[in-house]
Amino acid sequence: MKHVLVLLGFLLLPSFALAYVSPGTPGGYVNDFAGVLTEETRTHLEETLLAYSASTTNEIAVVTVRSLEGDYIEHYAVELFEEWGIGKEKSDNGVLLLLAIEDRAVRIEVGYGLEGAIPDSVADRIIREEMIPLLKESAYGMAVSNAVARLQEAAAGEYQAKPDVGFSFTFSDTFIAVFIFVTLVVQWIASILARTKSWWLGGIVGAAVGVLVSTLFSWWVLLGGVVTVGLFLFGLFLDFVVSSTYSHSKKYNVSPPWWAGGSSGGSFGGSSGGGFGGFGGGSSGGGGASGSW
Amino acid sequence: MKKSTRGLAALWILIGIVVVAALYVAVTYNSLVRTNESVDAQWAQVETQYQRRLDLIPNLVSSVRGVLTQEQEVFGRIADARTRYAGAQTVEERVQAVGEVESALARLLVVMENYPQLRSVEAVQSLMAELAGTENRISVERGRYNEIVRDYNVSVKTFPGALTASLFGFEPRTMFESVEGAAVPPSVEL
Repeated sequence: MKHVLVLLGFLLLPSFALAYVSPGTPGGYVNDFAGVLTEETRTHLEETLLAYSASTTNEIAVVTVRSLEGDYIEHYAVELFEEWGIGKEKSDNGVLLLLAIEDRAVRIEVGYGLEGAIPDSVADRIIREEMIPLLKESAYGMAVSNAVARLQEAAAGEYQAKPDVGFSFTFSDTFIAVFIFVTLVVQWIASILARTKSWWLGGIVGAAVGVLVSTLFSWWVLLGGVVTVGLFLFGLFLDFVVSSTYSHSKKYNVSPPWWAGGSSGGSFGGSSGGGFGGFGGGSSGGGGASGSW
Repeated sequence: MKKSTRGLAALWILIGIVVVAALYVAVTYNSLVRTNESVDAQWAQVETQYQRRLDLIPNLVSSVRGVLTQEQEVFGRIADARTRYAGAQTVEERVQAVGEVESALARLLVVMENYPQLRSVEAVQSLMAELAGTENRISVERGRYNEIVRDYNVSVKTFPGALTASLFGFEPRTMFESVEGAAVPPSVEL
């Protein structure tokens, strides 16, 4: 029994600081870092998984790596899953199929949301029945395709894609809204600070805003502190600049510059509807199964 | 005239400092409460997996008992450890009981090694896969627990968060390795 060794490994070495080296950023659902899949298999799998994700929202990622760099595959899979965030954030419906060619190890890591649909015993059977015999003959493409088909079957019906509502509040929208808001507020504060004689009020206002913002957004103390100090300095600087500019423009009777020249637009990002738009931020907790060939 | 302006400025600066300090304490307090809660939540995740393991064990035992007729002693140990876990009141007791479950289970797995005929039993295969998955989940959730506790302890122990922490009585939490001292790994020869 292979499991016994794996199991004993866990019992004896509960938590070890292991070296996980990220293979890179995902370029799609299929990431053949080891270069063991043919172009044809890769394209076909990518299309299948894209369509599957569109209809079920489940995200199945296929990753091949040359080596685990001394890490063991269970740990590597959890770390990679966490780094890429496979599956949707709310439903955690991701699956990672990971092959380490030189280590001759394979793992199916199942996200929290699919643990019911793909229990460990099912993942284990997929590995034993669909993959190991083919992997022994280095038929990587076949092994992966078969396993993906079985995984899709097992996970189908767990989640359904919602019909496209046509409007989604994306990061770039939020970013632009915040950008415009901040620009307006800064201009407004600047005009007030300019009129006051003080050069320090800006600093206080900046620090207060920093603390307020970090309380509102529940940041860590460190981040909040850095932001507060940054805003304090920014406020001081702003007050200094606007105060001197204001007195300058008053002196020469020209209008101060900060009401002129509005905000410049940010860049629009947004994910396109067609291709791979990145994973959804799902997480896993070590569910799934591993095998070796 | 000039003097009073300066006095007013000093007063404003003082008010500003007090406000900033008060807000700072509020922010650190909130973040300590939040981290403390997430430590508890993560501990619950660990216990969920402990429970999952305990629920799997009877199934495993009943599927191998027929073959392992000569190994009644190991089944007795597992049953005892499970009972103790169920009866454990405090976290320390539970961690201790988990250690006993772990060593009894490891003993069973080693015993099973000597019975190759079990390998062909599909039910045993499935249970072993579930068990291996559970052990992996335990190690993942424990690892995350330790990470959260580490973050929390750093913010409790380091300046200036330590001031707020001592003001409201936040104690450092125990990481897994040290609590787990009770769970001595079984000394088995493979």
